[in-house]
Amino acid sequence: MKLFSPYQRSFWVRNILLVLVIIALIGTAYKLARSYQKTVLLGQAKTYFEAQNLVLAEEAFSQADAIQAIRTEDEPWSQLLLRLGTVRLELESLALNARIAIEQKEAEQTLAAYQNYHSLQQQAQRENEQVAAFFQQIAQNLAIENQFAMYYQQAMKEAKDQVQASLDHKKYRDQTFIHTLATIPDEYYGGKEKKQNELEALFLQYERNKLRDLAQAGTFDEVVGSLAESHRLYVKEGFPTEWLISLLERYAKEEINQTIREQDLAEFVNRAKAYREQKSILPSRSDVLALIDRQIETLFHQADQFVRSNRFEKALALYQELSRLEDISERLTELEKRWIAYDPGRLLQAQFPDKTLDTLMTGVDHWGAQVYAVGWDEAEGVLYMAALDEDGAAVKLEQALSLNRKSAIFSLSDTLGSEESPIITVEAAGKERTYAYLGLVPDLSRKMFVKRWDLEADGWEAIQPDQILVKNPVGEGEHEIARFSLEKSGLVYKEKWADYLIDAEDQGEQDQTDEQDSENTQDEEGQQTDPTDGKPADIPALRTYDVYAGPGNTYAIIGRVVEEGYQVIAKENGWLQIDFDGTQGWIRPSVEP
Amino acid sequence: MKKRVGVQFRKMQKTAHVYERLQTCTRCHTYHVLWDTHCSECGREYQPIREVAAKVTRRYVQTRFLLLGLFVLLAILCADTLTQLAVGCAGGILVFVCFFVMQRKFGAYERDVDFLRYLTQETETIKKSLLLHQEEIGFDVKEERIKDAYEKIREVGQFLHSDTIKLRKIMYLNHFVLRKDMELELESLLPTTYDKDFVEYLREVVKVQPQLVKRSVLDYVNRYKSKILLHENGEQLIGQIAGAALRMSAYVAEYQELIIEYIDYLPRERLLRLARMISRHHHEGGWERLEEAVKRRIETHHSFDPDFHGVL
Repeated sequence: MKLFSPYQRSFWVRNILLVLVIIALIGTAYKLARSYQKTVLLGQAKTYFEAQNLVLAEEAFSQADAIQAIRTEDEPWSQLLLRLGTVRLELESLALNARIAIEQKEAEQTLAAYQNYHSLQQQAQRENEQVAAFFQQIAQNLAIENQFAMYYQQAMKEAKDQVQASLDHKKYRDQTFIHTLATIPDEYYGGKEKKQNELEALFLQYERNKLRDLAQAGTFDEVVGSLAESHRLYVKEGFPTEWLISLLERYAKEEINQTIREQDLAEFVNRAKAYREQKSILPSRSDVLALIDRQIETLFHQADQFVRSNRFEKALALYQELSRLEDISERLTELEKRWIAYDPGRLLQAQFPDKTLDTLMTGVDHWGAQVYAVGWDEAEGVLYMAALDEDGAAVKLEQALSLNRKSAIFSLSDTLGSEESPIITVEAAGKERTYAYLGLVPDLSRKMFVKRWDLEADGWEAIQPDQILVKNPVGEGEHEIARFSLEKSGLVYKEKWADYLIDAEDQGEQDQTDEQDSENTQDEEGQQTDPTDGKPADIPALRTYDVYAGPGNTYAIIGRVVEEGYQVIAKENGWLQIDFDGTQGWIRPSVEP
Repeated sequence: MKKRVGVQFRKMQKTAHVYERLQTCTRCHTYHVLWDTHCSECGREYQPIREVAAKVTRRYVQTRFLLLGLFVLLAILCADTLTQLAVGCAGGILVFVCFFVMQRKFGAYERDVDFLRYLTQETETIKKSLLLHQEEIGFDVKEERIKDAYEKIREVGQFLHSDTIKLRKIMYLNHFVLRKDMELELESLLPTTYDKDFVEYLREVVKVQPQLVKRSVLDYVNRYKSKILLHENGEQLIGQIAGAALRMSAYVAEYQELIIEYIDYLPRERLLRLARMISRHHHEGGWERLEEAVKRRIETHHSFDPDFHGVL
């Protein structure tokens, strides 16, 4: 069975169409009615227009124009009424905006509305008499000019009261009256010239009183800042400010001259800086700025003289004061250059200003440094170095050393390493041996000290740039006078150079002898003296050998002989039979004497 | 032999056209051919199909008017100037008048065309409604409401012409005692083939309403007389049919062979009528054999009957 029978289908189709027709009929009726209404209104507008009643004509025309049901052809009279409609709408909108701005006391918006009103008025007057007359009539009906007049008269009164109140209470923070008075249109002062004169007199009186009061109670910065702020406000309002600048210049000149006379450098710098900050408002030929420049020049000249006479600290203090006014980077660079040349220890002071260091050594042309200084902080056990590399850039290194801090003696080896890259040796009291020895080479590119060796022994001597004799080292070569080679990996044991034969007593005597020798040497050669100097002469005398009862270690030790202090009787498997106190004994020197 | 019951059939509605018997429920979208006046589903009154079709046509016309009106109104709404507005209004009125005149002139034709289209569109629905009626008939038979079943199938049979319907009608009619005052049918029940029940029905009908015997019935009897003779008293039945054919001289002329063959089974009064008819038409050609057979029958069986004297 079909969903809808022809009877039902015809019913729905007809009824839907009927609804559509009814809607269209309502729309058509509305359109016809509105079209008729528009036609009637246009007829009325034309009648009023012909009777020269522009207000009523425009009113009827605007009502007709608002009806969009039908379009009518433009005619000369309708075009004029259309223009009058625009004028009326603009004035109504303007009146509304002005009223809102006045009620909310929005000065900017009120001024904008005022300016807009006059702009429209001029435009209407330029067009033709009919438009101008219509404009005036509508403006009068809306009472626009009365609104503006009441608002600005009230604003002028309040602003002047504010000026008086500020002067009475000596409170000059709120200066909004400047803007208020400046934005009140000329006509409410009686013309542009009268406004200019009246406001200039008022502002001059205000600023003089303000300067007087602030100078008594405030600082130079506050006074200058306040006057500058006033200046900005006047400029913003387009008000002439020459009188204010001259007032400011007079005040500043007197104050800055006073600091010069009293040679109060810090205060001079403060005032000069504060005044220079207002440079944008000052004339290009400001007397005060010229005075400041002259005084700064004098002070720089004085600092340069300090430098030339090697009174670097004084020069530096002066430069630092003046740095708040001028760029002193070049002067400081020159100062540092001269100071380092005069005293390389300055490098350490400059690079580690918060450290109190003992300068150990200074020098030039080592490790790729033009000049360098090495310092030691005994309290922290840290070795510091500051240098200028080949490019003149400052480099600083620091390394904590784990050794007996109090006994540490630093020296620059004149034997080990190359001439360009000597080794800094450190000798300190050892734990397992008498001494702990450390070899360090600064690496400026990596900004670190490279440790070449770290060993403990009873003594040592550099015999060649890469050869060291070590007495009884810990580890390889123990109980020997061993020869070590200085290689890239550090010290490498090479061979037994001689037996190490010394009893504790001898050792003590020998140490004393070493210390005396060391002191003597230091006295003679100063800082660069090696504390091990003098020992090599004693080392051969100390080469001793155990004497065995037979040719082997399994035999009993029957005594000890010093090198060259025996007579060889026979040789057997590397063992020597010697005459020992009337008897025969056996020794086995690792190196043939 | 089944026991026949006496019934009184309700009067059948007389219509000029069969479709006038068709009614529809506009809400349920169903059709009805019986005597009910209100829809059994929704209770709404059935409406004659012709009226409904006329309403649909009227609505089509209204729809066209509305569509035309809508276009005119849209034209007016879209008018931008006064001139366009006036043109729109005037054009709209003109179009309306023209359309109205045309509608008045050709509206009647449109109604007939629309009615035919309506029937064509609704054929399937009508068939379904008749099928529902047949189901009702079947239900009545089950409930042994044979009279109701006959009355309903008599109405349905106005639209469906098939042996099935005819035979069912005959079956239902054979349950009733037939009387003269009944609205009986005969010609419309003729099956396309021989049917025993129809012959039995024919025997009963010819007794009470011999005027229902018409040419088609005579043809049927003539065609299947050999089978009819096999019925009990078949000769008498054919004789009665032949007697019924004497109502019109045209039938006598057309079926004189049948009359001659079964002249012995004609009742006396039918024979007397035949003799008088022959005496009136003996000057016409083609009646000679019949006249001879009638004379022979009168001479042998009614020579002493004064009513026959001088007839031939």
